[in-house]
Amino acid sequence: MLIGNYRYGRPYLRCGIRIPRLHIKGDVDFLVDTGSDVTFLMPKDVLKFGIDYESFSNSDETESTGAGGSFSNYVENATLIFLDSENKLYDYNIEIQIPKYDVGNRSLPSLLGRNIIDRWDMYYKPTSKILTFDVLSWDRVILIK
Amino acid sequence: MERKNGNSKNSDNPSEIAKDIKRFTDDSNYLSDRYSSLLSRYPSQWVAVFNKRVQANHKDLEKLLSVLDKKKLPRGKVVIEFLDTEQHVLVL
Repeated sequence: MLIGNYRYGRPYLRCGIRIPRLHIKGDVDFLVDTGSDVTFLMPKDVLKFGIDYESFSNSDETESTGAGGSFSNYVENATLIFLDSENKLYDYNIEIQIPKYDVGNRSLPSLLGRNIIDRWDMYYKPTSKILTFDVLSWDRVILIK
Repeated sequence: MERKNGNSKNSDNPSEIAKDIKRFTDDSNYLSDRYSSLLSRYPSQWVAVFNKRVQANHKDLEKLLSVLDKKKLPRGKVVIEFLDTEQHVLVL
């Protein structure tokens, strides 16, 4: 079981992240967003990892649409790594979306979308501050001894 | 290429990955549990939490990251959050 929590009433889950092309290895606090089809790494975390946006000059781009209108994203191959309560590491290989830097999105949290969430069963009970996930599938699993 | 994200030689070791995620989770929970008091103390500022301590605070994100670099903290493994006094409604 994966265990998340709430911050200012919002559901969060954290994990490790690897983006090999950009030599990124670290950890990210994701807002769990069942309304998002895909997973986004927002500018706050891009800057935290010391990535220069010019690094994306040769990256593929996609268009997304949200409540704020349409916006462009860079696309990178990434692995997200989640640790469960039984000391298992679950890896997920995904294409992660990286929105272009904008003053309006620089403080937004990174978003964990349904390309990951749909591989779990989620138990969401904010009145009791319970947020858990039962893992149904994964790309790789490692049991830590 | 070297990133300022705190990589270590053992960062691909599963035990080290698990240890990092546990610490990051503890730091994130620390921030969540104390959100109101931290908001009062650091209004409209970025804060950086590592090892269950606020290691830096600043109104400017780039300057906050510079402080982390000066302290030689692995900023890729640090919880960073903007404490927004206006509490904008998020529609994502």
